[in-house]
Amino acid sequence: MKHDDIPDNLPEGMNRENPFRVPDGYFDRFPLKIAERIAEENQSKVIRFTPLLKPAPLLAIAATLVTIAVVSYKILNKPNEVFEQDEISNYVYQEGIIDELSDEEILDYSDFANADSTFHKSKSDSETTNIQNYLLDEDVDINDIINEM
Amino acid sequence: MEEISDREILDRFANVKTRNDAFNVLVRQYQQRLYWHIRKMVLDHDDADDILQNTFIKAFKALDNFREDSKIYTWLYKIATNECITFLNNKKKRFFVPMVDVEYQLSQNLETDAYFSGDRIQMKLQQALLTLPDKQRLVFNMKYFDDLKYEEISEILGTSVGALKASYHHAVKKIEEFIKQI
Repeated sequence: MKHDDIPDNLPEGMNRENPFRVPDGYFDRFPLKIAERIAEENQSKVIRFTPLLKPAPLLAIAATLVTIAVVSYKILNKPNEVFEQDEISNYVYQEGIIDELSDEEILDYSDFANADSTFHKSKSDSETTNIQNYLLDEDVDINDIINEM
Repeated sequence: MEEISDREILDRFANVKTRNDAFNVLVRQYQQRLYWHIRKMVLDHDDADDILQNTFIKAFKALDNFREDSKIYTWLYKIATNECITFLNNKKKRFFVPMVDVEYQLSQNLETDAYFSGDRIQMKLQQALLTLPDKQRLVFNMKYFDDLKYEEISEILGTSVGALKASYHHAVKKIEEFIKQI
C-alpha cells in the first residue's frame, strides 16, 4: 500500500496502526444488538397509536357533532308534533268525543294547539280575531247582523 | 467472511421473508470499517457504539429508498459521518464550553481509556488530530487511516476533490507543527 500523501517528516514510529481496541467479542455481539433494536422498532410501530388530531380538536369535533345531532332532532321532530295534534283532532271528531266536550274544553284545546303552532298562523286568522274582539267590545248581537244581511 | 454484493443484499432485503437476514449480512459486512471510522472521530468506545447503532437503524429504515447511485458502503459511511458530526456538535452545545475545552477533555479521556492501546507517539498523533476542525480531522482520518480515494471522500462529504487535497495538506502541516512543539 503506497501513500504518497504521508508527510516525510512525521516522527519516527508513527504509523497507521490502529491504537484503539474494543471489548472482547464486541463485533460478534453487535449484529444481535442491531437485530434486537430493529425488532423493538417494529414492535413499537405496531403498538404505538398516533391520533391524527390532538385531543382538543377531537373534543371540539365531538361537541359540534352532538350539537348538530340535537338541533337536527329538534327540527325534524317539530312537524311530527303538529301532525300528532291533527291526529288527536281527527280522533276526537271520528269517535264522537267532541259531543261530550264542553265549549270551554274545546276552546282551551284550541288555544293550546294554536299557541304551539303559531308558526302556521295566517294573517287572516288575526284579522278574524280582531273583528270578533270588536263585536264583543261593542256588544253587538249576532242576530242583528244576520237580519241586516 | 466472503463479501456479498450490494445487488444481492438489496434483492434479499426487498423480500419480506429474507429481509432481516439480508440486513444481518450487511451489518456483519460493514460494522468493523464503520466502527473504526466513528471511533476515530469520537474516541470513546461507548459513544462509538451508540453512533454505530444509530447509523444501522437509520440505514435499515432508509434502505428501501436507496437509489444505488453509490455503493452501499459509501452510503453507510455518509450516514455514519453525519451522525458523528451531529454528536460532536451536540456535545459542544450540551456543555456550553468552548470547542478547545471539549477537545482537551477528549484528549484527557484518551489517556485513561482502557480501550486505547497506542504508544506515546500514537497518543501524540491523536492529540494533534484533536486540534483540527472536525471536518479536517474527518478528511485526515479517511485519507490517512482508512486509505480512501479523494473521489470517495468527495462523494461522502460532498466536497470537491481539490478542496479535500487542500484540507488534507493543511491537516498534515498542523500535525507536524503540533508534534514539533512537544
